[in-house]
Amino acid sequence: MKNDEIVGLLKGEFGEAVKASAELSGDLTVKVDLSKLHEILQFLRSCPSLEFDYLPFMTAIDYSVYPKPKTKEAEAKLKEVKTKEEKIKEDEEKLTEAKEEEAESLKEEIQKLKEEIVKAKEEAEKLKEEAKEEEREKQFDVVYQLRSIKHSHDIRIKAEVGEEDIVESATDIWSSTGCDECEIYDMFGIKFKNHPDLRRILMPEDWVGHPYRKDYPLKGKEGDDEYLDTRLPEGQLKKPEHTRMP
Amino acid sequence: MIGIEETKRVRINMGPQHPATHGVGRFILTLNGEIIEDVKPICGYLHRGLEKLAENMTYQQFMPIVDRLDYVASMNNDLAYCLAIEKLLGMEVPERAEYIRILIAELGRIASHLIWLGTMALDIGAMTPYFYTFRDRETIYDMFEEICGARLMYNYVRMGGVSNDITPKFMEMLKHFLDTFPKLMKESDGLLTKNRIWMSRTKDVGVINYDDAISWGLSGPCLRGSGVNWDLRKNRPYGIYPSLDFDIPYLPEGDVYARYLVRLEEINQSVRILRQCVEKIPSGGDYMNPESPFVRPMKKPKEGIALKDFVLQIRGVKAPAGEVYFGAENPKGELGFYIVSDGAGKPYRMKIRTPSFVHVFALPVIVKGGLIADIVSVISSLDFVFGEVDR
Amino acid sequence: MIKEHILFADLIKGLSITIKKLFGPSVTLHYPIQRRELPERMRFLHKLDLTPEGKIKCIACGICERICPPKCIKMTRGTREDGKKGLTEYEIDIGRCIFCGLCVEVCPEEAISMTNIYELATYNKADTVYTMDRLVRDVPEEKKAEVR
Ligand code: SF4
Ligand code: SF4
Repeated sequence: MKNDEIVGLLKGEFGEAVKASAELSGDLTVKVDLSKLHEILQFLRSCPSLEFDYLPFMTAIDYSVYPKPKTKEAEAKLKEVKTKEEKIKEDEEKLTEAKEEEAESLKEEIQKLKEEIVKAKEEAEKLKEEAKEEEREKQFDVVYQLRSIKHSHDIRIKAEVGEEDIVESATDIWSSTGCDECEIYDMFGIKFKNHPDLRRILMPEDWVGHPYRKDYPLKGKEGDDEYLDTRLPEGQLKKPEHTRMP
Repeated sequence: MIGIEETKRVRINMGPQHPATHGVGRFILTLNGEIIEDVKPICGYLHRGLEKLAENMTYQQFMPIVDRLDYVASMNNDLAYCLAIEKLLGMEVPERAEYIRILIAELGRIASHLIWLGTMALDIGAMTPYFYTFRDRETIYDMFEEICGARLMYNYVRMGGVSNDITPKFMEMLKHFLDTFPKLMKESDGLLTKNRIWMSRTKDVGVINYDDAISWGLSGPCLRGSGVNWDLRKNRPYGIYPSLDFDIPYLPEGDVYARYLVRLEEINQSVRILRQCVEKIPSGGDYMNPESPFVRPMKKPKEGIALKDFVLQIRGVKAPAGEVYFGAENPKGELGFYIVSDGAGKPYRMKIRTPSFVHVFALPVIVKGGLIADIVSVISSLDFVFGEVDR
Repeated sequence: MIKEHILFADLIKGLSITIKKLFGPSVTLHYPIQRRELPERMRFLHKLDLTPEGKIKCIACGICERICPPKCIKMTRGTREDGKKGLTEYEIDIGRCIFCGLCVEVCPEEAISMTNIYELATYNKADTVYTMDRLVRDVPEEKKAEVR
């Protein structure tokens, strides 16, 4: 089935819950609403013309430090406007003391600046409008990569998830999500309901924190050393000493 | 009288250092007499946080780390990673490099399958094939050594080509290998395939049917051993595989013996691919895309070295913002890289989809209800490596 | 199949292969008495190369230090004895090195290369850190001071 046909079918069935779709280097990506996520997955699995029976992987992404170039640009534009406004004020103060010849050129300058301000403000508004796309309400995305072995097509489903949200487990649809959900729970702290055996699988059971989150430091938190101290034999090296690189 | 119902459940630990677990994995088995009632895989002993590491390294720097995923088929890991990055950057690869890549990938596949064959025979109790397969694997490693200078962690494939050209000596060795290897392969085949002990240990053991195999996400030879005709080299073709002539073996039984036969046949098909490549490989031409930003500064003409080359090596190549998933058919199954880029020189997030991780967690459904003596052969036939499971 | 089972054909076939191997040539080497010939491209212990005048080629640009994935190179820039600025110290911790060869690949001056010296085990952990003196291998011990 062609990509646009799949999207059409999904939109026809779920309407508003299918938020956006895009084709990124040949992969079809569809963003859906979290509340309808499980229904949509079930539909994708059972609809005879789609029949996504194979799940290569599922994962999560922490978007908390994802760069927002347009928001940044809009902010820079607004800053520019402010400096210009200040300059106008300065010029006006000067105008009161200035002589006739100078006053003429100053007035011209003020006129110019005012025009520029109007223009810059308009641009900033536009950028702000565009930057709204970058804004996210929730921190994480869960990603399901699906494939149909029968019809040989692929799709990627994404849904925004917050820290408090509980996602419905997809183990009843694809059994292979079991281990992936455990990994996500372990590494990102996203919880799943109806999962048969949700536990930390890669980190120790009593580990604090979720390592793949962006606020988790690469070299481990303070206090990790103490954790290791209680578990490693005495005198064992924990940190490499020989380097001056970060 | 003590009936079967009154036997107590026994819980035993398998691993973390059991030779049959192919690494440091641990399985908690719940037994009822000799019957396995439940298996709980415990992993993480080899967890290195590679996905987090990748977020803090440039694309080029992560290259040697990828070797450490499945350390018996490093060349294939390299290739899968490079293909994923090339998909993200939209990079071209010269024809000669494409052929070299297929050569090394198929050699890597043979080497990995040989290790699997040897260790599986060893696990089940046949010691001799182990020596024969390791002898043949050694000749493949010698070839790899000749072209890239390492025996296990190759770091050979580069984004846009390969790091070094193949040498005439390599081609000679390869031709010699292709002449002698099929005969040597017959030895292991003759020792095992028809052997009555081997057959009784593997036939109708560890059965997983068509639907379960798909639902549990098995991939590679394990999936094809359950009758699914699915190979990424054919179904999602990459490189120059479409121009080559080879078959995908698959068997409907879904037991250990079927997986064994599929892998044996895959070795033969790899030899077939290698023969075609040796014939078709262009004798000259680039082995690396000269436009590739990953070309090292010193390989460019001397006057061409500029500050921007230095910056490129330090900051990394800026990839366009976006996300890609690329899965390649590795000896063990589908190795996929899901890369989210935010436009910087490092990936924003990288998920590595490894076949072994999925296979380990599919183990309970395969062995449930079987005998405890069979779990070893099932584990061997799934062929997982814990470097890949824990990442 | 049945015929094979009654006549033990499968076992006889396997045994004949094993017995044949008993009289074949040996495929192993008697290390350390025998040693393999290593290919040119072998990636083992590093070596700092010298210019024709016998000085160290390295210009202390620091790319190798940056790109090294496990960060095992430590390089110090400073004023040398002859008053010029340049490389004063260069250390590689072989214990952390993964022998990936990236440092050799990125060096713009081809100042560092890899040799095929592979017996690197030591009794002392401090010996795994190779200083500049130990990394220069082309000149005899007495002349090492001159290469700087
Ligand atoms: S070979 Fe690799 S790990 Fe070793 S010093 Fe060079 S860059 Fe670092
Ligand atoms: S990259 Fe080469 S020249 Fe630069 S510091 Fe390293 S060895 Fe010296």
